[in-house]
Amino acid sequence: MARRSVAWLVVASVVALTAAAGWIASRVVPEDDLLAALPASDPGVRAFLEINRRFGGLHVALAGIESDDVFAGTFPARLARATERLNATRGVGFALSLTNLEVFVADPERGGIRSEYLPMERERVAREDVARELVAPDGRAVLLYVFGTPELDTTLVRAVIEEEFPSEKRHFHGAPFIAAHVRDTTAASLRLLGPWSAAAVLIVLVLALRNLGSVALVILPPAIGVLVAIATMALAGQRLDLLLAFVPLLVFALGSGFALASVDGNRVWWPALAAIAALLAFFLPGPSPRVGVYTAAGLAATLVLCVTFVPAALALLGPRDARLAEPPRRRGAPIVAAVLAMASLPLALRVDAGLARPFGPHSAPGQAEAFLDEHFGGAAYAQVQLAGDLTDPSVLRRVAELSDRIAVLPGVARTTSITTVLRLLGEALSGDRVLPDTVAKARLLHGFLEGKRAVRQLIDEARAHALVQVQLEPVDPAPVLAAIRAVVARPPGDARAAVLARVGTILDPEPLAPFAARLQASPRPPAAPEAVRVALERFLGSDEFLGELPDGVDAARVAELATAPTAGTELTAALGVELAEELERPLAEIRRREQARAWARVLAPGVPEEKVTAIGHALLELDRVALPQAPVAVTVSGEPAMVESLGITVRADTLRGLVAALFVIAVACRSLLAAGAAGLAVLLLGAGMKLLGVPLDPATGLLAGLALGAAAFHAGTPRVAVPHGLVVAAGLLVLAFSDTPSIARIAGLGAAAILLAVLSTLSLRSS
Amino acid sequence: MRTFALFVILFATGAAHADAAGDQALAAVDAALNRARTHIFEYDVVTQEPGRGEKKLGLVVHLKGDKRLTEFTAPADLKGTKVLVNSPTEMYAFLPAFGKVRRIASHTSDQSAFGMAFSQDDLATQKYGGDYGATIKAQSDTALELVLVPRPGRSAPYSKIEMTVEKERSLPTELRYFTGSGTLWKTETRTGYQCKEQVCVPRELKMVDHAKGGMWTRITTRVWKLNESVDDGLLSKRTLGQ
Repeated sequence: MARRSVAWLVVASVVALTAAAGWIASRVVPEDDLLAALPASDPGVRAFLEINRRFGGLHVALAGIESDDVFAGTFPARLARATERLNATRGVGFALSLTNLEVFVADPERGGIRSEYLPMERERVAREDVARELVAPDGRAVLLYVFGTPELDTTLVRAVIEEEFPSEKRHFHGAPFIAAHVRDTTAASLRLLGPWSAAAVLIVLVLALRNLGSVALVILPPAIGVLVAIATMALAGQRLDLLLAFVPLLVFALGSGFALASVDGNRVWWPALAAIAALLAFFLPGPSPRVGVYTAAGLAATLVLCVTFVPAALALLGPRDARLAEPPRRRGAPIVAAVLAMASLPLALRVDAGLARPFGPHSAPGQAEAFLDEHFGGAAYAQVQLAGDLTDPSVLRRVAELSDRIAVLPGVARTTSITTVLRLLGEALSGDRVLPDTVAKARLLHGFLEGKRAVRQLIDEARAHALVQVQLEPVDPAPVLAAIRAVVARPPGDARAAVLARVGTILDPEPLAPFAARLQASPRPPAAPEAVRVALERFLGSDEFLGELPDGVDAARVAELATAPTAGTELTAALGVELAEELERPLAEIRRREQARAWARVLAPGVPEEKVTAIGHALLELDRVALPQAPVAVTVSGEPAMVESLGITVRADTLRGLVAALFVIAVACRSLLAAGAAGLAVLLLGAGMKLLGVPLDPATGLLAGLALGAAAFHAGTPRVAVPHGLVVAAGLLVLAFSDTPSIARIAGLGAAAILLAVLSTLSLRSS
Repeated sequence: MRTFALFVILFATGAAHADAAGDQALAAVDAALNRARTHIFEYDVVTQEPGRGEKKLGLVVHLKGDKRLTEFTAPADLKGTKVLVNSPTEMYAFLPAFGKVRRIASHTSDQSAFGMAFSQDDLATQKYGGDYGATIKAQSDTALELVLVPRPGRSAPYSKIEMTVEKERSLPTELRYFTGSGTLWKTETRTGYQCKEQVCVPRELKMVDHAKGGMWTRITTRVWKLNESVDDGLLSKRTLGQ
């Protein structure tokens, strides 16, 4: 009687604690930021997060629309309307499309420049370099950039695009849309397959235990353990990110083994502690300490329930009759295991490491990537951040030089940097498409760009960091990244090197070497007098000329006098000293520009006139006063670089964690064979991943922890190994049918991990 | 990425006509806003974007007829820059760092000016009756509620404006700007009207952009001089750089 009372007391306490844990667990906050799950200890991840939070790259959404001809019919009007609507949509800082792209064009009649929206005309758009980011070269697709605030709601953006373009093919990309896709498809997949997965677990348990009460006792402790793990996160103020979302899986997968062994009448303390210790040993020095801590908390709670709640419940329900069968020992199994280990070792060591894509090629983001690859040169970006004083002309020149040198590398579609914007604005304000050559000019140009959200992608508010966005062609990014790093490692060049880099982008794909040789050898020709005369006459007739010509002297006459060999005296005589002096500066500017243009023709014979003009602009920067190079720190980042760095870290972390876990298993189980079994399971898992092309990443790396924990536990409770493995594998294999790649991948690998742990344990136990 | 506006256009003018009761009320508002021969303002401008620091501008504005000259007194980057506006689409800028006057014809006035919550159109619009027709939505003893919608065939910056007007002096105190889909986009408040010789100007204008998380810009009138002599030479491009 007293024993039953204690049992009821235990059960009641567990119910109360479960309710408390459930209430606390319900307060955990989901983390919407997919990248929060990446290990901040990795230098590549750290740089990527820092750069993209600084420049807002994680809030840029893209909407692509396909059409037979984007310049025809109602398409331009609808694009304009969509852009206008998006710009008034909550959470949208600025929406940019072809219809609100501001350009500057020289006004040949009245002088100065016109700022206007680029007209939606095929020929006009084709002449604007910057428009290439917004319309496909064949005019069959457009792209809208939505620079969002943290409150950006992708459903609102999607709604506008779908309403304005109901019959066109639409694509959505960028971090906000990818995050929403992963979140939505994961939830939908779990809603669909979750009940079937639970049913599979129950069926296997019923078949193994043939007693519903026992089934419930196997389910409840790990389920409560899951609640405790999540409650611990909530108490620690930890948001539930993509990686921590796997903690419930680990707790249930391993904890169900504890409960199964407990219900079966095994002593679970030591094997369970060995499993928890192995798990902690793997995670703490390895891939994800947070996952290790919260999983251990959940498993510890499960273990406590197994030694308190389960016996108490069994006392109330009555003892079980049948126990699980002892697994058979098979001769030769160790030899098979050894052969498998040797065969899998080279494969496992060569497993790719990095970051598995959270979406498949046929998913919406996958199709959007194909759309970007096909119409816009590529969907992937590398980023080069420069830290330095961006009001210093030498620092701006360094940004431009790197941007230009990288732009012509094989595998690079194009680069964008703040220097592109500064040159264009400089042309608008001064007439020359050059970088500012004084701090005052640089600060003035920056001042005009204040608050422009599209520009914030390229320079931070403090003007202390600039970002070169490098659009990569759809090729293997590794060699391109290596080439970018090689460019970055080269010391800064002088003004001549910077000009050559600039001209390289203009002449691309033609080789730069002949131009460089002529630049070295060819003397600078004088400006063509006729060109100077025409330009000066145009200036004098424009509204930008502030003076008034004397009666009887027209612009043509002044231009003629000013370009004559005897310009000084005759011009002064005709205009008077004051007006003649006033003309000196514009005349010098015109001469300088025309001389640069003439020189460009000599250095790059046969190139089209617009390229001559561009080269002329570049040559103007050759005359700058030599600038001492101010300090600049350069970091290469972007998703491909981050994945590359992450791969190195994950591989090293996993190896370190594996060695530590195997050592702990050997000590805790007092058996080298137990450690060998665990190691074999991980080796086989790695080999399988290599064969299937699944990369080792922070999520898939967790499954090595599952295999190690299971192997450590099964070493002390071999009788439950098979049913435990089957129970967990059954549940996971159902989830492996998910059309969400991350779920299917983790579930499939998880099932493989637990089954391999069982096989390895039983094989080596046979010896 | 060449999406940046260039210059602030302050206080442009346009033609007005009215017929219905709402249009008459709107015409009275336009008249009340445009009684002065000249203005000289010194403004402090503060813009606050959520999650970012305050941005400040200092401006001195001379207004005479359709012409206006704006000189930047802050921040240091822009100090000394002068903008002479001859019409809503034509201006001359003097840039001290470049030492020259540049003619700029701007056709992108619906964009934000210097990162402010005000667009260039918002700042330029001083008469509403030309582009908008008005109906009276409600009225009390002290205030009128007008609803402004674009006149047929006129291209107006907003699909709808709801304007609260102080009845006695026909001065707008709040303007709510709506998108084409009927969503409230921005709210402008004009407070602390000060009057001289039947001309009233607000001490403070504040624009809140609801689409951008409540980003706001406040323009505070630090100095206001009414109908003082403003020499035509001051408002000429020739003297801009002097």
